Amino acid sequence: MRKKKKFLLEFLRMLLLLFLVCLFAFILIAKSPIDPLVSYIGTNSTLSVEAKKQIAEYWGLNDPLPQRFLTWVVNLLHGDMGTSITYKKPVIQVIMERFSYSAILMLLAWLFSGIFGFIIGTICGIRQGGIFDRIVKFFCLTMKSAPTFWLGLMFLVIFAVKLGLFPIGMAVPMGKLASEITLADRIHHLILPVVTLTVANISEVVLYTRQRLIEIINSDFVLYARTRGENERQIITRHVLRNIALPAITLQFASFSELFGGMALAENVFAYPGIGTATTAAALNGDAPLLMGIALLSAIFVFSGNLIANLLYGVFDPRIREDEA
Amino acid sequence: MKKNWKKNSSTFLAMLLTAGMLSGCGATSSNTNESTNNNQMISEASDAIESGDTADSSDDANESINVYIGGTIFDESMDPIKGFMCYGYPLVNEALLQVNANSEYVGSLASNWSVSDDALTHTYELNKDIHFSDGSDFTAEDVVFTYQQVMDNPGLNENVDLSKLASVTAVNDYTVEFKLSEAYSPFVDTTAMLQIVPSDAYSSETFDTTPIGTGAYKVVQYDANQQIILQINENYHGAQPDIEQVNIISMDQDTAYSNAVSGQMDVVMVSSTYINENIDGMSLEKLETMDVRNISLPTLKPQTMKDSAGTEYQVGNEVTSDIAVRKALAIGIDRQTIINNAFNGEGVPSVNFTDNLVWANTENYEDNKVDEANALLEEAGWVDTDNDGIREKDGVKCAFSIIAPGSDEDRYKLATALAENAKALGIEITVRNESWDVAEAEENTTPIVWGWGQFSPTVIYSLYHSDMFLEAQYANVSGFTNKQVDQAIEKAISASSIEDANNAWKEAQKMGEQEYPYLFLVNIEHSYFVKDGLNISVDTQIPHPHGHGSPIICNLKDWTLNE
Repeated sequence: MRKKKKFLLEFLRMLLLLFLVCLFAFILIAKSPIDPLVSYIGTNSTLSVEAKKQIAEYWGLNDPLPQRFLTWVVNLLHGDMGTSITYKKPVIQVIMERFSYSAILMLLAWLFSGIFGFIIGTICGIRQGGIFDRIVKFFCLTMKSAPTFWLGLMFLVIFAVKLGLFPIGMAVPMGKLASEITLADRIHHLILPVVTLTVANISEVVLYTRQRLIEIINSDFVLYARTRGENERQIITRHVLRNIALPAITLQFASFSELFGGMALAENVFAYPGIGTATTAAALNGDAPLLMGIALLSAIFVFSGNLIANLLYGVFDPRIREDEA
Repeated sequence: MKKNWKKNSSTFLAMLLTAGMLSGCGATSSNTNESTNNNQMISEASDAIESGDTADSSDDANESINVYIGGTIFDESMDPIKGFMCYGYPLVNEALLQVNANSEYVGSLASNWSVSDDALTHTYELNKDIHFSDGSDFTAEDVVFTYQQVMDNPGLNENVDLSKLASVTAVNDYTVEFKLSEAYSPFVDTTAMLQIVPSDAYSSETFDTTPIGTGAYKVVQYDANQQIILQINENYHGAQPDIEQVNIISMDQDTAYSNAVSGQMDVVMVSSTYINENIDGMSLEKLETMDVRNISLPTLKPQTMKDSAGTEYQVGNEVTSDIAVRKALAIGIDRQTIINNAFNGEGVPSVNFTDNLVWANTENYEDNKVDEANALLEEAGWVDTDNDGIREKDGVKCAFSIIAPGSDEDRYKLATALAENAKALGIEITVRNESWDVAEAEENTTPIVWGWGQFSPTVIYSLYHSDMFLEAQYANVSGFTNKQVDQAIEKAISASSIEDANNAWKEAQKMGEQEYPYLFLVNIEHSYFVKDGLNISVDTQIPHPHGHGSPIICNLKDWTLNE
């Protein structure tokens, strides 16, 4: 019963959050210094005044802002996210098309940064102060402060342009028909963006895991385990890993938002046709329906990440589960 | 219970770790395999391009080229009904008319056309034996359907203006009659802009990506924001093109340039920043455009004015309202030096719309006449009394700012180079980069850098007609008012023949330019790196309209590989 109530509360919280995100996004778009009519017809257009009026009317650009927002919400509730001004296609179609590319990119980067981050962080923690630890720490701090697109550019210049190991951009080979494209082609084109996103997102997990591990190794119960005669390996596997896994996993789920932002930048560098490039196009064209759709999607995405993190807490740490039950 | 969970969780973790290692290995090993595969593919492709695979050189079966022509083509629908390719040249679909290398209209789907004496009826005779790429016949019905679609959904098409079209009817299978609600000679431009779709096969959904047309090429694959793969349309009515497959690639300009350096691109559009670079196996083509950059110079004294709806606007500029200042700038600056400084010398000096347009005034004048310009300013009372290098008149400095709007850095560079050059005349110009919103708010008071390049002379109406002032965005922002110019423009619009219209357009410009409401600076050029062995048929390239990028494919069907 209480579980049900909690679930309901969580659900309501999400609805409220989504509504606020949409409202805020709408206000931002409406107040942005881009005139949708001008970005639509171009600044060098010599369309007659009547034609401009017809266009503004068609896209509802003359309606007052609250009315435009309300229309959007009502249509959304009917399952209609509107039509993208840029692509002149239903927003939902544009998003579905693009998101499939982004999803695989994010999923892989997320998995790799989580898994490798955890492993590397653990090793650093154990070898605290060693040369490997120092190098990794330096590397992580550098990567944490480096913008994703810069990282992408560097990888592109080194591995694609100079060494020629990977294609320069795109998700499929140039000029190859879909029927001839193999899975290997797709993987080959995925590697560099995935590596970039992984490297860009790995620092946090590494540093956090390392820090937690050091804390735990210095804790009383580890000291007690030592006095019981457990060796280092036993201590790590029996006591430490379990304790650091929880925050690492939570952190990883909570990093959905950063992943999303980083992806948008990386996609532009690699000409990868995901949601990021669509976002840029929509923003530059003042494409309100598409931007709203993307804002909604990313809000759901980030919220799900946090929700999963919350739920996993319970799974991994029975204390939390019991507290709440 | 608790113990059990612990066990489970550690197995889970172990599984995660091994899975990670496995997938890591998997990825790297398939990567090495893959890169060899891919290299093979690239070398095969380049073999095909360079040597034509085997003995039969020019008519090889799989000629394929990769072209980068900017991103605009990917950020829009490919449906002509929704405004695709409204520039006067064909790609997948064709219009009734098209522009030729001399900027004249010639028949494309239409063989000839005529205008009634009252200029209200435009009649087009269509070519016979033309088929769409799906095999269906092209007839008058398709033309009527296309125009009717745009008339019914005007908001979907941002480029074609059918607000003067009253009706379109098929007189017979190969004759179409357009009735206008008022005499409007620029209607002919519309018939070169709006490309025809098949009435039977048209679908608002699929035409966004794979339109069916009568053009030399058809879309065989559309990868959103990655590439558009075109192949020859076997049903094309003209001579079959030489190049079997054209891949239009979407990426950043920098990424595209990197790809060109590594030998994977056949055509790459580049900005003027790149034109002094060298790419092995490619050469730079600077192509002629009819795209000009000018700066609006408000002609009115600062004041408040009302538009027809009663809204008040601040208009005018203390300095540029003096015709002496406007004229001194026009004749005194050195356009070639400005172009050298701003664009690495890419571009041609221009003092009005380009001579390669049939309706443009071709009476040009010399610039860099510093002495004459200085004398003009002195005579008008602009004298440097405090020796700071800037002239004054009645306590007002001969200084103003120019807005280089939007994200186009070329406009900023141009304005900065102009500011540097104008110092020699004792005029101080401050350059501001602002959003188009700010530019719009200040358009009637602050000079702005504009770009104009279209085959339709309606731009003259936009820039010079007094009715446009305050009534339309970005139109006649200089506040230029001249009854005679208005009359000439109206004469051009109501003309029943292209010749009469063009003469009237020229007359309007000639009179308008007497007062220098716009400072024309440069006729820009479009630069592309083109792979050696690929001939883009410069002779049949039309003067490129506004928008660096896609115009190079205006004559795609004439391109040849390894001559």
